[in-house]
Amino acid sequence: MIRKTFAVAVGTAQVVIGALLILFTYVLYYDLFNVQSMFRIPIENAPLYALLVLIFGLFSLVSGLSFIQEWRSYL
Amino acid sequence: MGFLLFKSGEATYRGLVLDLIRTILCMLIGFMGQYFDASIGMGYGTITVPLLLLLGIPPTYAVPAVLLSETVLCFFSGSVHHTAGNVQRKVALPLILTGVLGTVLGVPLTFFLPDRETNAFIGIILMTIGFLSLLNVARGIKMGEHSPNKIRVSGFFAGFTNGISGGGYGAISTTGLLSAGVDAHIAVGSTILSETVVSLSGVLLYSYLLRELNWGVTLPLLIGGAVATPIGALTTRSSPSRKLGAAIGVVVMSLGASSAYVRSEALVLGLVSVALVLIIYHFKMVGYPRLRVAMGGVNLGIGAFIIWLVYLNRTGAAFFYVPPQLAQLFFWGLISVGAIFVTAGILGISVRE
Repeated sequence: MIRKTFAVAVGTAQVVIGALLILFTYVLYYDLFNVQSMFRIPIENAPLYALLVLIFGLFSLVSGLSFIQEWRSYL
Repeated sequence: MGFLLFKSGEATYRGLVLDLIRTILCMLIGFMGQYFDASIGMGYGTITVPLLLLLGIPPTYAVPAVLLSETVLCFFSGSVHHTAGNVQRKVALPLILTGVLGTVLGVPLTFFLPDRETNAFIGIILMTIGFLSLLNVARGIKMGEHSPNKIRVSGFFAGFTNGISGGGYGAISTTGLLSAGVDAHIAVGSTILSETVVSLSGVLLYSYLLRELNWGVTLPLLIGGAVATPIGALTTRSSPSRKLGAAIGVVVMSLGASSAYVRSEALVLGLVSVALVLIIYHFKMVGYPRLRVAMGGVNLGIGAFIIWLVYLNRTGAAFFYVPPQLAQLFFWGLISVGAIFVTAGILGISVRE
């Protein structure tokens, strides 16, 4: 029961984090709201940061979905 | 900083960390490209070149590095496929001969043809052969009865395209062989083995014309690719031939459409997603509990990395800048995300069968 509750809570949190990070990738890459200057990211390094955030976001999303899948299999 | 393969010229802590991250990302790119290439016989050049350009590596370093690493990796990958019984001499030999001829004719054209027209040309070829491959699967062509002339023509066009763009050999050769009635496993294995010689001929021609090679990019690509080679070759062996043929047709048509019409950022994003799905598909075949344990380990690693970032930020040694008005939010945000990932890691590695 405790594992089931943890699985769904952690899974949902990871899905939300993943979705926000993928959204942030676009904000960072296209420099919306001047985020590159806000975080003092040099323009030549912006694609590198965007790629890192994208990989992290995709992994978080996949991991979160697998936890939700695990929770659904208990039902 | 002598141990680093990249040299950004930025002699600071931030520069050191960014160079290290670029080197690790190069290894990941090599892994992803080679996993794709070793499992479905195509995609190494198509995936690695745009991703390396995205990392800020100039094309004059990226293309020769990809071709050289491709030569070495295809040799190992081809050997694994040969051992697994995925290579036939009567298919591989004509491919090598006509492929080298095509490459020798294609490389000099690189210096005359504009990029846009070249991409459109490659895109149309890929879409056509992807469609033909799907048609063959739909018509139920009997695999195993080869047409030698179709094999030679596939080899020539594949080598020619590889010579012009540095990529596309695997896609054209594999689908061409499928159209010629070659079994999907044999098509993938023979393409990869023949690509060793064809890429080597391209490397020799390019190195003669350009006289430059960056080992800082080539070595991480090779390391990442070497790890992916046996995993990719085993995936080919365990996939049903008909499904593999249909998957190859769909992937090639998508690559062709992207190459001809879509912007490069969209292409890169699409390829990263497809590669991720393929890797997850492979681990799904390995078994769900093992997949969960592997993901749990990665989650724990990410959690530890985030806690390290919090520590660096608090001690003022971080390689990134956080605006003072966001410092508190950033601190508590990272602590929460780190805790979530550590919990996910513990849940993942303690999964039951």
